[in-house]
Amino acid sequence: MSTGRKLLIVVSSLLVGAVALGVYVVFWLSYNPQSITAPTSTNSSGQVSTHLFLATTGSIDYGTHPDWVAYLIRQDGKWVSSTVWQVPAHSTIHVTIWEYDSQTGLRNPFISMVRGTVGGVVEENGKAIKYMNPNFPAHSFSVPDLGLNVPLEGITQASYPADLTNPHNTHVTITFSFKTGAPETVQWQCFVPCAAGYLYGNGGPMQTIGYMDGYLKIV
Amino acid sequence: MTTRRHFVIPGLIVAALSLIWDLLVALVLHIPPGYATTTAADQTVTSQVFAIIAGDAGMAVVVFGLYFTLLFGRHDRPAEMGLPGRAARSNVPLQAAWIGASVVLVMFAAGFGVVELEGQTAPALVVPAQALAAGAQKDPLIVQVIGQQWQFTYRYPQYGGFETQQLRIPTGRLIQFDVTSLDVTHSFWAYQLGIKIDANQGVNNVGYTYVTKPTVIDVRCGELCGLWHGYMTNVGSQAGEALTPSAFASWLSYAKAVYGPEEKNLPKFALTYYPEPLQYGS
Repeated sequence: MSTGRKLLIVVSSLLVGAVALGVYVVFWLSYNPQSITAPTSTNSSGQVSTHLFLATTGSIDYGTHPDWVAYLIRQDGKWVSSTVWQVPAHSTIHVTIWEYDSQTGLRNPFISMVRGTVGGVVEENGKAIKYMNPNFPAHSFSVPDLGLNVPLEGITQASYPADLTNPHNTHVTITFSFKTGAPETVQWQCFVPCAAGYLYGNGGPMQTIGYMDGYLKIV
Repeated sequence: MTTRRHFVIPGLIVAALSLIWDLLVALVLHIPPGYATTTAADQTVTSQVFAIIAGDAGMAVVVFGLYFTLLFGRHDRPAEMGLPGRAARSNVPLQAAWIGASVVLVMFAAGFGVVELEGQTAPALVVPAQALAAGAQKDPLIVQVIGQQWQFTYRYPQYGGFETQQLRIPTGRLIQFDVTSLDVTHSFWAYQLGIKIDANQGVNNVGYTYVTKPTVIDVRCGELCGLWHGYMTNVGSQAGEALTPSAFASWLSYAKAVYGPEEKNLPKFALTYYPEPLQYGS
């Protein structure tokens, strides 16, 4: 092979590598996932409230991984598959979660304690709780950077003996509030090893934004 | 005389630039990890020495390279300069100086590196000499560090075994970190303390530190461990801290009040925990 040809190959390879690197860097810098803005309402005294209405389901029945466990968000009366949510800074966020999945249990029982909510408690089907048996959670809603951790109890036959085919009987309703601070983007995740069939229960949907992880954009 | 001038001029430029660089490294720039512990200080000094050597050598190469390229690489260079490179190829003193300087640098780096490496076994293996001198090895505070996707939590077995998300340690007391993981491999990297200890499932890795002054401790995971590895930190509001003994005692009272009631849910303290539940997913 001639020197000129070798030089051409080397220079071409370097150019291709540089372009690929440039494209990656531009993509990385401009990555800004679409978020769903949590709806707000204003009461008669002018106080603004923000509401996150979420659900967890054992299989999303949608998209490329229909059998994956996932979070959903309610938007305009429909359940939407998104885990990037936008909420206002310096506000109180009211959260309602319908938890439809069955119990898995926590790997670290430390997560069974409610932390970071207003009053340090959550309401589970109307009953205030601060701790949970570590074997009961199906999922958790945790924002480590905000110190927020809420275990979500899974459904059981014993809990709802009446009629599991009735959708109104097959979820646990969890409500709580938390406060946001200055604008920032933080990650949230589930701490229950709920990804069936994956290493330590932490693969697949636990490692993919859009299922059991996401961002909370505080703006 | 002319030849000597071509070494003196770039040599003076290198000396001036090197002096600026050395002062910056020694006095101005933050060279990690800092001076919070003797272990960290050792690492900082090592990093400073190598930064100075590398900076000065790099400066010399660049300055001499540019000088000779610009001066002797000209097409209109004086005829008495001869062809480029010829003078250097036949100049034994120049070649000897070049090889000699390279040998000295490499041998110094190797010798200094070996000595420092031998002297820096403290981070994860032995009790720091400063703690031994203070007699602190008799009463270490054991802090268990538990890595999990994606956070570190800390247990204090000598105080009931409660668990927290914040690392708090006292100054003036030997700290023994027992490090393990509940899932994949993590690495407990306490930046200001100058220690980094692998967290492996089913394994207890032990490391020591001894802090003399209160300091913030940024904890990061040093092992790529999954989607939120980059967020597996204890900084900002979650930052760890080395506190004075009295402040640490106050924090213990607070932490036991907050986290104590949860102890009944925690497994009995052990050096490792096989992950439960054994069946995952629903």
